[in-house]
Amino acid sequence: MTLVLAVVFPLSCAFLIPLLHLYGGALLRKFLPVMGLGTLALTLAAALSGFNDYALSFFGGWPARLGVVFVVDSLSSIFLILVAFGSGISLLYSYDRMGTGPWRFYVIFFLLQASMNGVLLTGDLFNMFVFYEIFSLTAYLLVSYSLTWQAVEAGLKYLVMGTVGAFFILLGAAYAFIANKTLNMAALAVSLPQIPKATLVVIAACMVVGLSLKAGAFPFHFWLPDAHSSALTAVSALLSGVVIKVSVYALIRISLLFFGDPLPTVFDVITALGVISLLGGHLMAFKQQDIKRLLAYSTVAQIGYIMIGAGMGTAMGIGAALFHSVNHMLMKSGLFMTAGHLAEEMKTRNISHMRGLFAHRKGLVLAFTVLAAAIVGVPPLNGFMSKWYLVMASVEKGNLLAALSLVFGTVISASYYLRVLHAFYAPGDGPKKYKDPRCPLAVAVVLSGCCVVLGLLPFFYPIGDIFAEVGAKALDVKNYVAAVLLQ
Amino acid sequence: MAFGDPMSLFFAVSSTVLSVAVLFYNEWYFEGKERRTFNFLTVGCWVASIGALFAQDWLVFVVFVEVVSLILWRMISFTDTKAALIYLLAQLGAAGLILIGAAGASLEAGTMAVGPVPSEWRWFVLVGLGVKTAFPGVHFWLPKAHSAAPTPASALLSGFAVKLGIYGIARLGTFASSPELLIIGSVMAIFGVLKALMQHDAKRLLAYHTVSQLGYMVAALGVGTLLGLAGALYHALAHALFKGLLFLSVGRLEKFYGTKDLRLLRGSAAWDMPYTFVLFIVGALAISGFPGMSGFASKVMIKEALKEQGMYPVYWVLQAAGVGTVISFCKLGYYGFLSGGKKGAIVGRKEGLAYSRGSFGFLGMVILAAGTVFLGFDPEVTSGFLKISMPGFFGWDNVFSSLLVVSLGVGIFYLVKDFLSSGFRGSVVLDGLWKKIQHVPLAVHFVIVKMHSGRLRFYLTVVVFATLAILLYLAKHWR
Amino acid sequence: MIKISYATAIFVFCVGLYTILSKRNLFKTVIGLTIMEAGALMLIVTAGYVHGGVPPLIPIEGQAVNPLPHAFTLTAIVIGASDVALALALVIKVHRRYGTVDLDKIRGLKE
Repeated sequence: MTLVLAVVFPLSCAFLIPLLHLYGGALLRKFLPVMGLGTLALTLAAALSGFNDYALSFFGGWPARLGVVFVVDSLSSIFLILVAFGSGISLLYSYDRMGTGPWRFYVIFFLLQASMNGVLLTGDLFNMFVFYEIFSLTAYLLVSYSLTWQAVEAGLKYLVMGTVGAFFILLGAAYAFIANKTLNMAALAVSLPQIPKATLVVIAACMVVGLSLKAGAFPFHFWLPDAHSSALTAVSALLSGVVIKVSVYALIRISLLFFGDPLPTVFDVITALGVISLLGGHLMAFKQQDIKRLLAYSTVAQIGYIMIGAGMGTAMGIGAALFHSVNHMLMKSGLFMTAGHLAEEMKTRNISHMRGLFAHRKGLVLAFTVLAAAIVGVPPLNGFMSKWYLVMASVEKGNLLAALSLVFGTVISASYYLRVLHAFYAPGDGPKKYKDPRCPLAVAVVLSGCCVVLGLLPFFYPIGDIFAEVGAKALDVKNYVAAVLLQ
Repeated sequence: MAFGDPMSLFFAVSSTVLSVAVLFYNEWYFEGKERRTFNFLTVGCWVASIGALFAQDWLVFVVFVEVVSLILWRMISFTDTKAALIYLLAQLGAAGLILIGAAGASLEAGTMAVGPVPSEWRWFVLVGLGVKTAFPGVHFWLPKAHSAAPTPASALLSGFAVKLGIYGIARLGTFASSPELLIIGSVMAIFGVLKALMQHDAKRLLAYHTVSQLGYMVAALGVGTLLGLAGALYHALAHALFKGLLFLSVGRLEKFYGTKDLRLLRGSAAWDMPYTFVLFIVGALAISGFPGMSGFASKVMIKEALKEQGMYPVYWVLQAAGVGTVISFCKLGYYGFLSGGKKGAIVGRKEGLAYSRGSFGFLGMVILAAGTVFLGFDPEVTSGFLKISMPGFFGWDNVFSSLLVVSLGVGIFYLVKDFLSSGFRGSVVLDGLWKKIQHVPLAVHFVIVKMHSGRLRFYLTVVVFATLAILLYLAKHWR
Repeated sequence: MIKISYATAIFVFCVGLYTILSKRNLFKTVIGLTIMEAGALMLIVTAGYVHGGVPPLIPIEGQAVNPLPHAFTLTAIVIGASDVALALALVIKVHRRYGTVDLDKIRGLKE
């Protein structure tokens, strides 16, 4: 029941908000925190119900092959926790920034939440496509919400490219249906190994391309810098931190379930995409003058890291990818919120003009420093630990190119983040327009605290093993199939 | 994390003594807020280095070594951010390579304990440590960083940070002679001295000497015997003390005259600051291997180790490097302290003026000098630590060969004195080659940047081509 | 027979893709998106054909097909419609800024 509620509750909140707005703004102001906390609680409940053992929910009581089923296993639950916290932080930040005046924003926000939960929970391929499309549409809307020309252009390009990607996924799903006459993911996992290889190759190519496009891997990432830099700060944090991870989840889930045994070269493709994204993202970020665009390219590179981990196909690799997803959500949300707030105060996004910030906004700049150090991969912060697990996973698989590119990535990202920090710490005038920094400061401090804690924790508590176990469970297709089909 | 191992304790002692001396020196060199920051950073550096030395596995070692690099980066960026950036990037790259080696070790051998590493992963760890120890080819960060840093930071860098690399290589080694280390060590020793002779910046000269002395240590580690290991460790400790002392005395020159360029110094420091001059002489004698100083004892150990194994070519290379060392320290001493003569001395400004800001600074240098002399006169005191039987230090042949080296060096210096005064920088060929090599990644970068042209149709075309590529790849490699 | 339908569906998909890649007018890009979608959906619907399918209660030969793809297609059409609606709204906004719907001129965000 909780699984269905995790989708239905945000959906109904989204539909309730216009009604509440009609009855006066005060009502909305009172109910919005309730809605936010409720969504957070339900998502976490859904996550925890499936963390150790599979949690299932059959719609209408129809068994798996006939109806739609919601499945939570440990892989989904990690991502559900990630989504819950990421969206919660974004909601808090946007509530503080905008109040409840722009009620349409919150409608779209909750629709996004509902659809993300839907993607993470569903066990049916077409259902996943539907939720995927809903969350893509709401993402396009959120990007263009502020209606500046950059946001609209970015939203349009995101839309066209994203829709092309979605149609590739639809094509892949159509082929899977043609070959197997069923759309339930567990049933497909059973019957896909038997179909002719040619069809399997086409399905794999379509799925990988479509999902990597939404996830922001290199040759398909061109919408990402525009979209993530032109959006509002809270939206950028949400997109980079959370929305991208849902596509990564879909990629991991589909490649493990469908192509784990019959077509293991898919994993080589994912690793190759990861390495290319890493190099391309870091090289582009190196040259940027606009801070939000720099952070967006950094996201492309970090997705490369995650895809390298996922493409290893081993328990340790997937565990490392998961750990890095969680860390990246923390770090990137914090970076975007801090940088976005500072850029709004300085009335410019050009890095060389953002000087003198250390003197005036000490807390924010210090938090930014910690977060930047974390994302570069400096010990003893969490970025270093996830980079270590990724290196271990690549070495285990024998993929030295990936390991070396991870090291190279650290060096390059250190140079461009240092450039930003130099500007911040340089003497200068400071903010030209005052915006209350308490909320971003609180959020940034909490997030950097999490980075420090997660960085030190693996020395005292086997976090790496926990994630590797989740990875092993994700690899365990037979169990998943048994849990879903034999009910 | 405790390691009762004498190797770690030995390095820990050198770290502690150097940090204490630098803390004292900070009192003189900096003022106010800067001084507090620097003291804080120095203490942090010391704590992190202790952590690195007593780490049980390579991962923890890398964590602490990176923290040391970060602290030193912060210190260097007080005076020169570009050099600090190059330093930090080199250290991060090195740490990453060590991590890859450690990951490989943990997967093959099942453990990551700091110690010998299975063969192919050993190269990663060795190259990573080599970047930290400034092997030729990857040494590019050292001269810039060590000379651009504020003097106390230079002392810490040359005195201690590079020794962490030596510690790692020592831990990595087994007891078999390692020809690659011998070759690298000899090349480093000569290369460092030759480049040092060409410098006119006093601190850059000292930095290249660090490279040269590290070459002695690497060669000693390459011998593979217990005596060689002991020689390397002893030289590491001695080098920390006398190099620290040399940097700190050059720092006094810099603070007093406002420049560290040998072409601009008045050369009257021997009369303006006589005490500093004496301490400088102590350090210079130590690095030249004059009998009675710590450098003599450690060089004797290294040379004995080489002679024992019959590695005479390396022995002669190191002797030649020793001559070069003496020549360049004569140059430093002459142009820094002596060439102006008493007439050039700044009348009325006595060293006493420097004392008014607290004689702690002086105390730091005295500690280092005392350590140098003590280790020189009584090298047997460390035999308890190192648990080997020491060769006869003050035997006639050892004393004779060191005195020969010293006098040869001084003699050659007098002959070529004027030739060295200008200081020239060679290696134009290498610079040209470097610029050509940079064209390829820059071209790739340019192409990637131009791809983000803003044209939606281009983006979609790239998507379609990439899809076809993936399709073809999967079709070719299905199994 | 079925093969021709599959081939047609893929052909339509490719026509849509080609439209998006080669036409400079933004409206034609949106139309291309619709065509692509139509192609993919045609594929699904064709997949639902059942040879000699018999309706459940009244056994009339060859008059029943798998209804599942039809349901999917309807859902996907709705999604496509909302996509196109949003796309057109954004096209209008972009036109207000640039004064043109020529894709090669809409290049404000680059590098």
